Amino acid sequence: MMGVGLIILSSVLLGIGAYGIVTSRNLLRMLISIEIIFIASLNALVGFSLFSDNKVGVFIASLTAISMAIVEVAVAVSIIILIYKLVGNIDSLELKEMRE
Amino acid sequence: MGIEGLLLVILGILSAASAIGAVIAKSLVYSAFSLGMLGIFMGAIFVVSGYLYLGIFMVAVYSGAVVIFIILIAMMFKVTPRMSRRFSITALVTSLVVAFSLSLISTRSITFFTEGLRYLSLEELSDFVVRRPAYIYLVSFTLAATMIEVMALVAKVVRR
Repeated sequence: MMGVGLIILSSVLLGIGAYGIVTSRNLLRMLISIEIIFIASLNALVGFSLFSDNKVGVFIASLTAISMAIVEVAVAVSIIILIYKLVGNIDSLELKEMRE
Repeated sequence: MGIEGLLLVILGILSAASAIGAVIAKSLVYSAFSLGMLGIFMGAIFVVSGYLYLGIFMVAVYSGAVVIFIILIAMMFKVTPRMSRRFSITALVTSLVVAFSLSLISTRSITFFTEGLRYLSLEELSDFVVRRPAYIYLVSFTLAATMIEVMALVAKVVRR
């Protein structure tokens, strides 16, 4: 029962994160929404693991995923600072207009 | 419903509220702060689920380092306007449909799994990671190389 609750919660978080990505124009806010989706996927992994006997594998996979997310945040923030240095703002619509 | 189920319901409601706050907050700092609260609540959910050290790692490393880093960066940028109202309503309806259908599919798939269908066991993954530590070294070297590459790129552009 607890696993089902976690999986439903992860679906709700995924929907919220997808809404945030679609409706935001700020690159940093899009990164925050992506982090919400990452947390939702981690929650789904833990929820599915409650139906399995192997806890060690889920633990190691979750630690690897969190480490990957940390590096992803560092790289994404570096790229956002780079864009701000080159363009002057981090509005995704204006970046799209510049590309055209 | 036991005390664990009650805790899970409360923490789930708080997590969903934090995620909504992170998405709809006008200030970037409040948005990042809500993300940090979401990480803390998620760590508590992991502890309730039986993953004590994963919850500690989540709170200490994720909420303690990454979110503080995002808050520090968010203070440097100004707020950007959002999409139009009509577009937001369309996105809201689409997100609700996605969340509902995904939860329905996931819970149904659990029923299928427990009824005896074969599914991928996680034992192979744990054996692979535990008995072959070279995998961890490979992942670590790859991540370190990616970070060094990006830092070099940023330093090159800033110097220009």
